[in-house]
Amino acid sequence: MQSESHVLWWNAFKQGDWDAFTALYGEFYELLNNYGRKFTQDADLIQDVVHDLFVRLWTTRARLGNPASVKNYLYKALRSTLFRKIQSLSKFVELDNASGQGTFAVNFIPDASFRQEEQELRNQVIALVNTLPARQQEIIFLRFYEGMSYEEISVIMDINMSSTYKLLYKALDNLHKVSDKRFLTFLSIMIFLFGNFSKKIPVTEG
Amino acid sequence: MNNEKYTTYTLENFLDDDAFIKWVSGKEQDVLVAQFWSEFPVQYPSAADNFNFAVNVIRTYRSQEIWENKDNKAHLLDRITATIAAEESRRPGIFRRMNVWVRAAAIALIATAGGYLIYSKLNRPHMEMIATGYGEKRTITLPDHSVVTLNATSSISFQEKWDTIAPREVWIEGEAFFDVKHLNRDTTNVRPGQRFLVHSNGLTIEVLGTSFNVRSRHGKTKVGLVTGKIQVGFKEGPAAPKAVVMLPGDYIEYADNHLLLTKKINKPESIKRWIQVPLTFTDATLGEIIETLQDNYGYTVKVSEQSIKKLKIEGDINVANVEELLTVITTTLNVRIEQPSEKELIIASGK
Repeated sequence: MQSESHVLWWNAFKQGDWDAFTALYGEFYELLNNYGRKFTQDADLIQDVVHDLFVRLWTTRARLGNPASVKNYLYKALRSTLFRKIQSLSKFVELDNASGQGTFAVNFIPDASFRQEEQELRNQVIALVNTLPARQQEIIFLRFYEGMSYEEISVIMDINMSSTYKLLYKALDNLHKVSDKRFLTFLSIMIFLFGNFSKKIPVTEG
Repeated sequence: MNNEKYTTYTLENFLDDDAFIKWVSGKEQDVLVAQFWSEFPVQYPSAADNFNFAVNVIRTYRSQEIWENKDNKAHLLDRITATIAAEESRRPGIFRRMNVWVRAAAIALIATAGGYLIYSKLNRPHMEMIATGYGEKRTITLPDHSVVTLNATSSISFQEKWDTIAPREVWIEGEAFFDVKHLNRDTTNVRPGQRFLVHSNGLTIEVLGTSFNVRSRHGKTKVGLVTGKIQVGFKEGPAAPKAVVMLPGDYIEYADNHLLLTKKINKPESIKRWIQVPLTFTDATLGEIIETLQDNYGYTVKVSEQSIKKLKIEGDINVANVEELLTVITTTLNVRIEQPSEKELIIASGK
């Protein structure tokens, strides 16, 4: 996961290399914006957070360690900077989620190109994800979108492994129900079409 | 490479498998590992249904909006650079370069100065003042994260720390563009800490969450509003104008306790164009252009007769430097320009 250039840039930046610093900015700007967007729709706020994050990186560079993953380190930093900012801004400004860690949401792209069967699954997945609490949605995002391991997720979100599992299993349980329902529908159609045609059942226990 | 455990892999097993997750989200760099997963349904037909379903669920989830905000990438880096430069100039790095003996002497000096600073800080709140020189522009983030862009030879002052009880207040000389953080939405019940006041040369702009431009030069102050709503109050006096509420596109000019002009501008965005373009004018007179050359770039400009200051260049001028601006002037107006020295210009009518 850790790319070689990330490590090179990180080490050079810690020595005060401005070009390496801007290279890191160039590399992660879009990813950080995309992650930040899930917490808030306020584009200015995200810009301020990315601003603060990079300013602090530079001014504290002499004290920084060597993270296992630069990207994950920045994700974690973005998250805490954002929460702190929302909290301090709520003194001045009325925000939609002044409570700080309030929301997490992804916008699904409407896409007509899905086949009907896929469309049905899609609607169910979207409906399910949208009902999940913010922290579970964030785990899903880091897991299924960013492809992270449980350990990486628990470091970024600052929760211990077992609670990561717990939260994810809750979400997976719900996903499972959706999948069960879909397969039951699918199976009942099969049974209707082929009578007593026997087919191995892919549904799992649970 | 066959592995017994995969033959009975459930949906949950797949979703729990870090290697599978990494591959399905496109992060697997190892060609062999990637190949293993793409051939999985063929290798392990008994788990193929669960595999396909897990892949479907995740790919479905992944068809989501990607928000990268690329348009602001360069601008934000400028802002970061400006903030870092400002912070580093406050704590100069000279100290590190001194040798040991000079350092010892410097510590004694700093201790004394530090003692004074602590003393003065206890007594009065610290005022921050930031100023720009000729041809310089600077972006500043205020304590509440509002952003101000200062044009050349301008200054802004404000208290270093803002609390929630007192209004936020800044003092401006010269020209600045404000992008103020959203205030409360309930305008009938504004708490003091939600108020934002800009003082400039006899007038006070009360901000109600907005972006606007203020330009205060030679005793004249010009305010233009781009978005939101502001209220402008004037220095009290017998003939003081009444406070004015401005809406987007409104533009006023004020000098010597008098409101000289109120008008609507067609493209409110154009008043903040100086932020992106070094030199920008719309339907400007030669007099206005000369004023900018003097105020923002430190030129001394003489004219052969005052009347040529009224000559007007219709339309927009957007140029990168003074040289280009002078070329635009000499090609569009019937004037010639002499440059006896670097910062001196003489403009005369006729070619």
